[in-house]
Amino acid sequence: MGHKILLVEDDIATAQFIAKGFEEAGFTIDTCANGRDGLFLASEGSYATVVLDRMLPGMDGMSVLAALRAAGIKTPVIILSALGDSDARIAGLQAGCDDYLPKPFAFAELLARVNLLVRKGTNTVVETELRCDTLHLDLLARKAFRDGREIDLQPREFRLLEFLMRHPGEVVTRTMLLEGVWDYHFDPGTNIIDVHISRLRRKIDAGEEVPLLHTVRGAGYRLGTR
Amino acid sequence: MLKRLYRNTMVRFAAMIFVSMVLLVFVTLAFVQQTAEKKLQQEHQSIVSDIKGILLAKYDEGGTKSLAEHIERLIATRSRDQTIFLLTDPQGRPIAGNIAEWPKGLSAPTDWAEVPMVKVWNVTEQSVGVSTVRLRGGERLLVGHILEAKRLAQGSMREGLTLAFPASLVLAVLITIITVATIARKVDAVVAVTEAVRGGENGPRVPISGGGDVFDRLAFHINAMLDQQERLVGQLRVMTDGLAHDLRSPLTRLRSTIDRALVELDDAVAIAALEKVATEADALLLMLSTALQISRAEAGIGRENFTRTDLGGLLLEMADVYGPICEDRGIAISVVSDADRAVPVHRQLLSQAIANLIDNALKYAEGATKLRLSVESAGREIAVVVADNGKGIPDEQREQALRRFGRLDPERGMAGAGLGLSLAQAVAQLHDGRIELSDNHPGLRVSLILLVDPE
Repeated sequence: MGHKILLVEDDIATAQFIAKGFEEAGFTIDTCANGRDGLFLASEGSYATVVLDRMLPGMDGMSVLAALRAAGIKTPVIILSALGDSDARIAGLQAGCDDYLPKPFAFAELLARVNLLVRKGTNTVVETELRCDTLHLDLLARKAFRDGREIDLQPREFRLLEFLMRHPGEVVTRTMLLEGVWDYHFDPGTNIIDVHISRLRRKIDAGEEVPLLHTVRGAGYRLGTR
Repeated sequence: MLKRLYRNTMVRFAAMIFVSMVLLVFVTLAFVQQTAEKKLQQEHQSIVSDIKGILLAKYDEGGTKSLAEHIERLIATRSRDQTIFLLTDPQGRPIAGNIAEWPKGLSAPTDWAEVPMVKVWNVTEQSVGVSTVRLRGGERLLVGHILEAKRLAQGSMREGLTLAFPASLVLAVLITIITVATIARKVDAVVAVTEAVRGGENGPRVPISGGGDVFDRLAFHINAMLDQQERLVGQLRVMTDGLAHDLRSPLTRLRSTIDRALVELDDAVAIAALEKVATEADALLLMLSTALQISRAEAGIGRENFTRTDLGGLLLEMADVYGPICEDRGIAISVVSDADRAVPVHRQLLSQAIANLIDNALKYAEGATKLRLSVESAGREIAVVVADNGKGIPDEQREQALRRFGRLDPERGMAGAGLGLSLAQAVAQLHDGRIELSDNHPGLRVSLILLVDPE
């Protein structure tokens, strides 16, 4: 993909871990360890996304974010924070970040969310339909078709499928699904999302040659031909 | 209803003012009237006494005949017809005078008496103050004065009272309204500040007017209390933030190390072991997060993020999310709501709390076939209820269920079980409410009660 990412994180071990992960995923990544450098780099370079730790020495993450937004820089920012409670999240969103990930996180989660932000930045078209292989979603009529035959979906199943189809080929984590489809940010104790997905899979993949809904172990799900 | 009215301080106030005003007017008028009456009476008595003296002197000089003549002359010449005379012989037959007959029952001598009588040539009866004396020859002499002034005085007192009553009522109401408004304004200032601070604002304080009165003292002490509260909450915030960061950093490194290792390892046994470690690390993290959330919610942190939410809609969404898993387990989930308006709540914390309650039901309600989510409003209290028809919790174990980290069945190795109910309790507390566990006959009924302001 070749997109450039800026990582602002003061913890060396975490920074190395994240950087390695992104490089393996095909991104170019610049790292810095304090707020001032982060602000400096973000203002001059053109990054697809900035991954910003909240607790930084010198200038803290929220101040960096505020300064970026005040300067009119619209680069998507995802904040990593040990302050995981919903009030901190709300504060972060109000200050202008695009996503907020509490620590600790599974790298797959961070990767999936960064992918989402990168793609959002390049995509400006409003779709009326989504397609993947022989799966077709009519967004206006709210109907789904596979091989031309209509699939009977409940409203929530439609929304779930729509969310997956908007991230074709990308890993979508359970938390992203909960947030994207129902706008909830809690930790579900039981595997509620898994049950939703298995039902959806039965409806769209049953009897089909090419399964489209895949489980990615340790991460989440992916809709695609592979 | 009357009792409630009595307890209302302002009504008591108004009643007190009204009663005391009326009493004051009444007492003043009565006093004035009594004094006036006395004075008038003295006046009349002295007039009568003077005339009596003159007449007695005449009798001494020239006997009955002289007296009678004098009386007739007085009657003829005195233009003031306020004076009454009567001279009778020992048998009671009138000799001279301007009344027809001796009043019944009036004896002689009498110092002073008030008698109603009719004057000659008049028709109306009037009250007369008389003094009588028995003369040496057995005749009886009566001298009197019409008590016109007294009558007038009594009349004006009655008039005064009739005027005073409605006037006092109006004045009492006016004074009460002004007083009540002044006091209410002062109290409202305090209420506004305390509400703002409880709602999460930092900074507002009750204004001190500088008059040194009881309201200033109240304001001073409330401000001091608010200062202390803000300090404590601030300290708690800093502490939980610090704790979160300090504990999460090693956990982050732990997690990332596990993630990297899982990617790089080939050994199936090692991978299985690492995945178990990852699960435990996640459980540890969940407990840490929830415990911190509970502390902050109990301290009231988060009130500034309340948003108006339709609770019925919220439950429908929750039922939507949990629908499939309930179906898989043979549990029918239903939603009932009597909420007619959106109420300000912390949407995220509340949904987390409800999710916890539903999770608990799914985990522990053995034999349950129904799960009912409902919103039940009762005035200011709105209850979000999660009820199942499983095996329930016996009475004596309910308190333990609410304790942080408390679990009813220590054998069960399910992660994060004990905290779910505690978080729900802390969230209820954040909304000025509480959690109630009760029997669902059969099953468990968990009510998350929120307190909302009446609109």
